[in-house]
Amino acid sequence: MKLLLPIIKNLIGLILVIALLVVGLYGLKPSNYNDSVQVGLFKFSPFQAGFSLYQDDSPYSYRFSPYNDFVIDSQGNYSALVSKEEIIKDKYQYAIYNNFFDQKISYLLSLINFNHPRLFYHFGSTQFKYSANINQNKITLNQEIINLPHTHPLTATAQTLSYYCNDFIFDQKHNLYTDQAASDIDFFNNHYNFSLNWFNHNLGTNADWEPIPTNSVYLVNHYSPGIIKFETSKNQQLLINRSFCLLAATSPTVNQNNLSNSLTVSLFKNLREAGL
Amino acid sequence: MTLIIALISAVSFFVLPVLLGNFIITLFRRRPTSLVSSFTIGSLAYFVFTFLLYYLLSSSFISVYPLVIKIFTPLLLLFNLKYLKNIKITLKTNWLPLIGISILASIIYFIWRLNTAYPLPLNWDFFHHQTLVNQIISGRLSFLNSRISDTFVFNGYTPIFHLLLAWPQWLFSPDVLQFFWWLEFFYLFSALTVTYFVANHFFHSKATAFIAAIFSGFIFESFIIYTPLMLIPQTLVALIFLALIPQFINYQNHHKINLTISLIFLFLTHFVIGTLAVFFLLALLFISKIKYFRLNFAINSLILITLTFLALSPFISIPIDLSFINQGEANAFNLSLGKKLEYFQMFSGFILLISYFLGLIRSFFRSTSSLKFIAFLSLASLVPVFISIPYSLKFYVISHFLLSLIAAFGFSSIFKLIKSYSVRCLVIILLIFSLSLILLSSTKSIKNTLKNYGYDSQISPSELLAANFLNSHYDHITTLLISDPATQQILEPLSHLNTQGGAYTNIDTRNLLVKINTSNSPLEVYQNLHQIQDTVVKTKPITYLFALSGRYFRWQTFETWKKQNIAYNAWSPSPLAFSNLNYINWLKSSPSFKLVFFTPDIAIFELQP
Repeated sequence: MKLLLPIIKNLIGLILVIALLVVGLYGLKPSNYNDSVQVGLFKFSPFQAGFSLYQDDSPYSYRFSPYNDFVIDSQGNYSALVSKEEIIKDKYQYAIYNNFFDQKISYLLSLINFNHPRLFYHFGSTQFKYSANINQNKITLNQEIINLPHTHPLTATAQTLSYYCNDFIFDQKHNLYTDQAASDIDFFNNHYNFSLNWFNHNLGTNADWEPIPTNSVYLVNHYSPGIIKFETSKNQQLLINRSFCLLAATSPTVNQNNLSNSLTVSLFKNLREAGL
Repeated sequence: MTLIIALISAVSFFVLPVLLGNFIITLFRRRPTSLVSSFTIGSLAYFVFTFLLYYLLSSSFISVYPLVIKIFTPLLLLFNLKYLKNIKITLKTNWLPLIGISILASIIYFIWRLNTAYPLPLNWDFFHHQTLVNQIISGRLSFLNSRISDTFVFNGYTPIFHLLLAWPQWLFSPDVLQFFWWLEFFYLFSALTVTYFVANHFFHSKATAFIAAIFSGFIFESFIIYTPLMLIPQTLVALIFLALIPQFINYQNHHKINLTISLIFLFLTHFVIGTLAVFFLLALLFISKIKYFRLNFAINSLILITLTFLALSPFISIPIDLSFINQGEANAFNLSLGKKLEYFQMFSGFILLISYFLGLIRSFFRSTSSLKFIAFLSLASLVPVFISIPYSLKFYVISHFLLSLIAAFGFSSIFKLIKSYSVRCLVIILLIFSLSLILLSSTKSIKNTLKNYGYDSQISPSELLAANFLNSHYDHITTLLISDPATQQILEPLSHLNTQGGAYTNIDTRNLLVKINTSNSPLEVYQNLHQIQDTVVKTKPITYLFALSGRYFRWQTFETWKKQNIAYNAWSPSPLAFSNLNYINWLKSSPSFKLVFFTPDIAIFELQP
């Protein structure tokens, strides 16, 4: 017993210390900006309406929102994941964390740069799960849609990025896809030693969603610095909707009840860094 | 080489006043007391000496005084060589704790500077303090800071802190960013060292003293208070206050003059925090005079009375309108009790709180009278923090070290249960790991507003280039630089050019900048810019410069009331957006504006006469 006593004392001491530290860390109040991750010149944060890319003090934000995402069925119909009515009625429950402990642990992990922002939406058995992998200035956004009701077989699922209608959107070959004042194009070309060409009338379609014949485009906002590169993989298609100012990456459907998709955005400081 | 110069300059900030203090103590044949007394005596003597020479030499001060400093300082060094033996003895007997403290300081500083390239700053106040130092070096001195530079609109302290910063700069002309980087490291090291030795003095336990150093280093108040990672007048006062406590508790008559000088130093370094520190030290002195057999009872009673006061303090609202301070900035810092408690949770979770209460209980029931003094003082120091007045959270700067001491005492009540050396090491590692997470969290809140492309700081490399360009191309006296408050704040100290108030630019200038943003022609912009006037330097500038940075344009997107309020700034740098380039091009088209500097982050125009 005499031999055991110091061991027991050590053990009690250690347990008490661990308990104090756990309770102490539990009491840690996260800073106001706990969910935002700095990626290049932008901050990336989950909100109720989806993930957002924004800059401090700037009114401009770029959104990846399930409210804009859609699916395409075998009849060629484009259907929103969440209808306007469902948005107004706030039908889908949303969460940034699975539970309270997930929130605490995610925060502590984010302090040592293990950032893995997620968003969950559910209504009945229908679920949308979004998660982001951030690697330096690159964000890979994964989408998973479970048990989405549909009448016809689904052929593709689309993830979107909303942009500002007067943004410059162009590809690697300098083809410009948005309307711009001629003077702005001239100034852009002169200042950056660039050669933007009009391309927006050559898309060859008058549909809302027009395919862009490339797998990546660059976005430049008139009022915010930085460049966003929107990228799709080989089996995906890049679409633009100039009425609603949306870009989309569509992926063919493999499993009707478990749809998945992903897109990549890279954030650069300037054209040179973007390799242009 | 610039790194070595910066390092030597930073050490000199602490060492030179000590050398002068030793010299004066010996000159007056007084008994040496402590390093802190030498520091305060040396600082005050240097302050008085500089002012005397300033008024005696008048206009030749600027040329003669640096020479005096350069001759006098090596003599001081020579005089102090005989004390090297004492330093050797101190190092020999305390080498292990000092190594431990160095490792702790390095870990803490590494976490703090994570993602901030050397030597970029994280301390916003550094910029206006350096502006004042520049003014002093260029021969402008006054007892009131607002008469030296219009960057200071509220006289919260004398320029004693700035004179101490100027001394190494007169001697070595270091790169100021590198100088300040090292200076803040040595401040942190000093804070940990002083905490360790004061704790060891009271607890007579090296382990508890080391835990106190851990608490005081890792818990960083990243809002208003800024101990122990930023060196500003209030944090210097807090450190000196802590170092003086043992001397006031063990007061002896022959210390009278030394300690009086220390009190004067505290007051001159920060009128408000200094006065509070003086009040607490005098209270300690008074209580320590109580006869021994009544002492324990007296302190326990005081602890209970203070606890009652502390409970009532949130309801005490001082009916003085302090909203005028710093052009209304004070209003933004009038925090509710709930908000203050939220901040404490942000700074330290529950670790400090639980340990502190354990320490309080332990010191109430079972400790020596001197330890009860610290417990009482820590509680008493919290009373002003919880009073409902603007900036009251600032008073916590005094509490920071005291709470760390008592928290360490509380934590050690568990720690002493553990007898195994390896388990004790494990506990220390766990404590450091947990507090590292808390430090990361509290630094995150301050760095979040400083996020820039790939690093966190208030300044970008492009802006540094701009500052160097301005420094080498424009006359420091006859040029006025104009931009948004934050760009002015960062460029003024590094370019040595004058701005109207830096970040504390007055309402007239702010309104003119608002007007400039809506001007329809470059000529209108030109005319508005010419109306901006410095309130301290009365001579009309010959050259006007207009700096348009990414943050200038961001600031211009603020609502007007925010632009008129000094609590709102574009804290971090950012590149110029496409529309900003268009605006720059528009100004460039006018013969009144000559583009003299351009990078993707900032453009600078010289206004043509």
